[in-house]
Amino acid sequence: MVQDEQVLVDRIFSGDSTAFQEFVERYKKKIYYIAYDITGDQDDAEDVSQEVFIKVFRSLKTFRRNAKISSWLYQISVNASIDLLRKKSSKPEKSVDDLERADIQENFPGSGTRAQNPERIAEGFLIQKHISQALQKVSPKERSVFVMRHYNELKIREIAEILKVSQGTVKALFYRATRKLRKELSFYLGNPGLEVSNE
Amino acid sequence: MSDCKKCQDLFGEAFYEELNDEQKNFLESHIRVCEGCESEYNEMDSTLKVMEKRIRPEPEQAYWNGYWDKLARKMEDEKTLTPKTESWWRAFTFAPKWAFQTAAALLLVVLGIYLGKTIFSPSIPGVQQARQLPTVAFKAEPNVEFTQRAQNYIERSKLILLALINFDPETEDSYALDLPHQQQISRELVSEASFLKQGIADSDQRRLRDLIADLEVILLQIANLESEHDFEAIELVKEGVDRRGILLQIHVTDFRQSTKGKDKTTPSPTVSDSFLNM
Repeated sequence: MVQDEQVLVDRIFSGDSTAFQEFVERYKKKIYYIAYDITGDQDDAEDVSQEVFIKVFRSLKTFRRNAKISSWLYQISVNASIDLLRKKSSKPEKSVDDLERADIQENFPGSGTRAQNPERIAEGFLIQKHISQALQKVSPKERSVFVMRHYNELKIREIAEILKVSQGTVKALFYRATRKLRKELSFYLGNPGLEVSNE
Repeated sequence: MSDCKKCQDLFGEAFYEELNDEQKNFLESHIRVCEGCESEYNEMDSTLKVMEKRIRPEPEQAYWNGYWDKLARKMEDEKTLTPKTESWWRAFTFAPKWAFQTAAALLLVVLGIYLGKTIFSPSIPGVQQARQLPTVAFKAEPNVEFTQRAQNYIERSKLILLALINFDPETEDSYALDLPHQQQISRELVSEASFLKQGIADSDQRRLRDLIADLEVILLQIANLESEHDFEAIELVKEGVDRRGILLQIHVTDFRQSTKGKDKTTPSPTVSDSFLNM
């Protein structure tokens, strides 16, 4: 993978016109999901992911060839997502009512099929809502570390490289994020009826 | 480090099965004897399991299929990929370093020839009269040139400092700072500072000399930064700028120059002299 990445970077720098498109195709989903995990909003994630690739294209000349381009890409994504959150922080956030009115069918395809129990659908939606709210209560930096680790399967060493901090700092941020989430979701942790298996 | 701290330090890797055998044995044996760590481990594990219930809404396939086209359109809108500029942009983006250096050298040579011909070539009386420059301006030329260099030095230094001070590593990626370029200019300015300090002999120009010296120290620090990721060192430079009140000194210099300039009915060399005599 690392070798592939280097070959792709070499092709981009040699002026291969299809290489940048391949680069975008390879990373578009990863960047979209990191942006979604941090911003918590699909529209924002779409905007951020496109903005990230434009920024990368514009700044290619400043990229040091011996560095890892994926780390650089993630770094720009995390910064762009946090930056967007800061800009939006002055505007009112979506209320719980707004979230409840959100179209479940659109956000969670299959959740509204007639074969499923409406109560179960509502319960599932409620859990999703609480998890999203809990995640948004964690600070942007802690959230960035948590989502890169837990949902995007990046190793502590890689996250440290992306955020330009020590591995100890990453571990501490992950630990703090998990503790805050535990506090926010304590209801589910003490609820033996909730299925929390990895199935 | 206590065993509990060591143990908790391993949690972030333990939940994802990334511990080596030694670490795994240590963690398992510790949580067997430490109730606190065992409870902490179990609660964190449960939290992560709840978090795994989270569903990330998947955009429709059509969105992914049209992703590149949409991106390419946006790039075109920004005139980064229009057919006319693409070759230029591509050449600019991928040109080797020596190409920039050669272009810069050529530009300097052309500029040098132009300046040499227009400023330093022997003056022709008829042409001088045609230019109708006041005689006093020629008398004061060395001062004017020195003043312009001093002003230029302060102005360029100010831009470097502002770029660094306004750089926020939390919101911008470090490549946006373009530190190598800033360092190159800082080095040039440090050389310029030596010349300017030698040119200020009078004691009544103390303020200007102090400002140039303060700026020289800061510019030297910037020139010696190891990388744009060395945020601690960048913070130290920022603190230095703040502590020495350099931006305030520059503003005061600008203000004095502008107010003294307004007081005079005629332009240089009197304005320049007043600047030099600060």
